[in-house]
Amino acid sequence: MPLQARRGGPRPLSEERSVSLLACRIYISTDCDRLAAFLDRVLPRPAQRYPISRRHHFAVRREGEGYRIEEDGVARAVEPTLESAGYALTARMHALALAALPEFTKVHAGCASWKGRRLLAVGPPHAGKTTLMIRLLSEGFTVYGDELTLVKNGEALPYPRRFGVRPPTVALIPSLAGVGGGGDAVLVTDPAQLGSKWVIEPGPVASVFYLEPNHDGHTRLEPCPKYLMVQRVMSQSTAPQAGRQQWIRDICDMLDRASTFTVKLGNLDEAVSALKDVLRRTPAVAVDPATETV
Amino acid sequence: MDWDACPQVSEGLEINKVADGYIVYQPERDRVHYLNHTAVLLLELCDGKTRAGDLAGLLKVAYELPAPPTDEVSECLSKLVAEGLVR
Repeated sequence: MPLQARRGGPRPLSEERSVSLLACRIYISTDCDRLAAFLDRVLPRPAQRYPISRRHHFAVRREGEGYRIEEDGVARAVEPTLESAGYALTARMHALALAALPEFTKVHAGCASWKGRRLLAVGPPHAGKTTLMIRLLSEGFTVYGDELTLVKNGEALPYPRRFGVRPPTVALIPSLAGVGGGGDAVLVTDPAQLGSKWVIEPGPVASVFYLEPNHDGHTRLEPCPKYLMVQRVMSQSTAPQAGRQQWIRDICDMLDRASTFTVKLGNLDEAVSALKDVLRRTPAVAVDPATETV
Repeated sequence: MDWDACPQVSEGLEINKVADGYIVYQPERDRVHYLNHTAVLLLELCDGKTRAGDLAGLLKVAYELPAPPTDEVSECLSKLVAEGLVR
């Protein structure tokens, strides 16, 4: 770009990106190619079968030593660094996407399916959700998400977010070799990058597993009474806007149709074998051939 | 425990059934209760007509027990009353 143009006014917003986050379609324009590269690294790109009902536009401009962020034409923030601008922008995008679906219960859960049976792996941070989900990818499972699943009317809708894999997990999963990362950095990846289909769509749940970490030990799986599983899932979820009654109804509806287990998650080979064994014995609630890995 | 009283389920509870229990929401206290099968049966028997003293005998029949579980009924009923699920 000619020097005169740079001095004469704002730089053009030459880089454009867009992303669908369930009900939200978000457009980002920026004059910073490094911010665009940051977004390319962190924005999820699954195929999505969910209707768009809201659209938002962000503009990010370099300004002096910082980055000015506008949301739908209104100045929102000035961030001092590229990284802080990128994180602030993506955090806001996810907040808008979740706010667009206030009627859903949000559950800390990974979501996958195997032979037409969808599972939720519910658990607190560091329980092993991401580790298990990435391992399931290499075992013929269709994996939708590793961290957050929305629940309504007994169905689960995985939230599209790229997986953040911590270094100790990278070392546990052979399929992550060569994907990147390394050192102390969190590896950001997703099912599509790891060679699988990545499709986001709602579906009924056949089995719910509550993960309790048993690092370096064996994996043990035990049936969990549903009335206790409701308590456990509620402890790892947030209520819909409609309030606690709807929250309970949604979780009860989902769990009443599913088989429910507690998993002391240790050895991953044992975990895969145990989950397959459960799902093999669980009736398929619904099969969507478009999302199955054969 | 007044064994001659006829306990009754409190009004306004929202009861959600799952295969092996009830999840009871108590709007006035904004509390959630997780009841196992035995507590559910006891709750169902608190119809305002059945004497507390007869509950253990009814559970004995329902679960084909060798003896009425009087202590367990007393403990469970006390909890239900303390939590405001039964009055």
